[in-house]
Amino acid sequence: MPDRAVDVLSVVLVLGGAFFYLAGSVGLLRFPDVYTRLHALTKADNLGLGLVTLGLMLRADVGGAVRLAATWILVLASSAAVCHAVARAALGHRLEPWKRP
Amino acid sequence: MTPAFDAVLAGLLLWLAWGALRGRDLFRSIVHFIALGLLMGLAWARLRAPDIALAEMAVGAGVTGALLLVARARMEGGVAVREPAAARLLPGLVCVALFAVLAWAVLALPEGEGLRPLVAARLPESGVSNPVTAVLLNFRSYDTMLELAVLLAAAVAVFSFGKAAPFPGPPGPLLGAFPALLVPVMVLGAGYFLWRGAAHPGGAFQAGAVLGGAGVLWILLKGTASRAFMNRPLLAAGPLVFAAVGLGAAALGGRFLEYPAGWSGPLILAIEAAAALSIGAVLAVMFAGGRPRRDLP
Repeated sequence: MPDRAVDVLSVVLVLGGAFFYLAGSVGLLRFPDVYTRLHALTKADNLGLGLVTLGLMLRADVGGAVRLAATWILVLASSAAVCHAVARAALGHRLEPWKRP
Repeated sequence: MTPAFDAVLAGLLLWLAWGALRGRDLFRSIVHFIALGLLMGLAWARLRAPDIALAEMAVGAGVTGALLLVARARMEGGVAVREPAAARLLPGLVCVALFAVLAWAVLALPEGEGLRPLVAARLPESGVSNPVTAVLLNFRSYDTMLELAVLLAAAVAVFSFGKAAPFPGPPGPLLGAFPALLVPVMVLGAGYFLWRGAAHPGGAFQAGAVLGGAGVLWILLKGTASRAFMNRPLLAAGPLVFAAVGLGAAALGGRFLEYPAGWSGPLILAIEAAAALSIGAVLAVMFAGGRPRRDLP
């Protein structure tokens, strides 16, 4: 029984992660300017990756779980840095943030 | 489920390749190319070749993408020149003919296990238990040594372009501190790949690709083309150690590159370590685009 519950929980977590990825992609397509799109991409995709990683960690052994968690942390760090760099570059090109008309 | 996944993957690969070739906007083409490299790595993983998948994602998508973006930034205007349709017809026909020949060659392969049973039979004597590493570093080590020499020649060619142009440097204090955070982790990761290559997917090329990525990060975010990791000793270490081991084996009475019995494992690790350093240095030199400068730190 505990095996079955762990299986179900892991599937639920991975599906939740997939939902957040979908939300991030919708944000990428629908948001009006680069800053809001960056916001959608980094926040939603990192949360989605966290949920997927959590779901996969339930199925892995200890070594694999540690490596999965390390991968998530590294992706967080690098995507934060890339988001910062893109936003700075956009400001450098004097792209004004979108304002509600 | 898996045929549907494979069909979607193949369709995406074709769509991304088309997008990379359309040439409407150079930046779009490069982004499509990077995504293509990523999905190609996924395709290799589906073909149960994780070593190639790792190398494809790190070098084909990662470092090559960085090189293309730097090249585009240095072009004037960054606009691709459109040739007339007639001039593009002949290369297109050549590509179609090449694809037809390759497809015929793959479909005409005889059924069977190929070389896998041969490698599996001799694996215990090779000193490692990952068949890819055994083939690369033991059974066909001569080819790998020459590949490393080719990389060294490429680095020499890039040196001939002159001094590396300075990069603009960190766009702010946050990003200036970022390499100090991430490069040690990447060096650790490279050592991890190197060590695991003996029994699991990994090895010298994957470790070298991660080191190359660390070098690219350093150059990009610190703004310097430093001689600390792009100097001649590091570049030459891989081919030099390989040739030294080969000649040493010949001097001890065997043939060239015939490892002495029982020493295969440690020798392979030593060669892979030197090769990983060289590969990382070569990739960093390619990104820097010239000789490292003496006047910058």
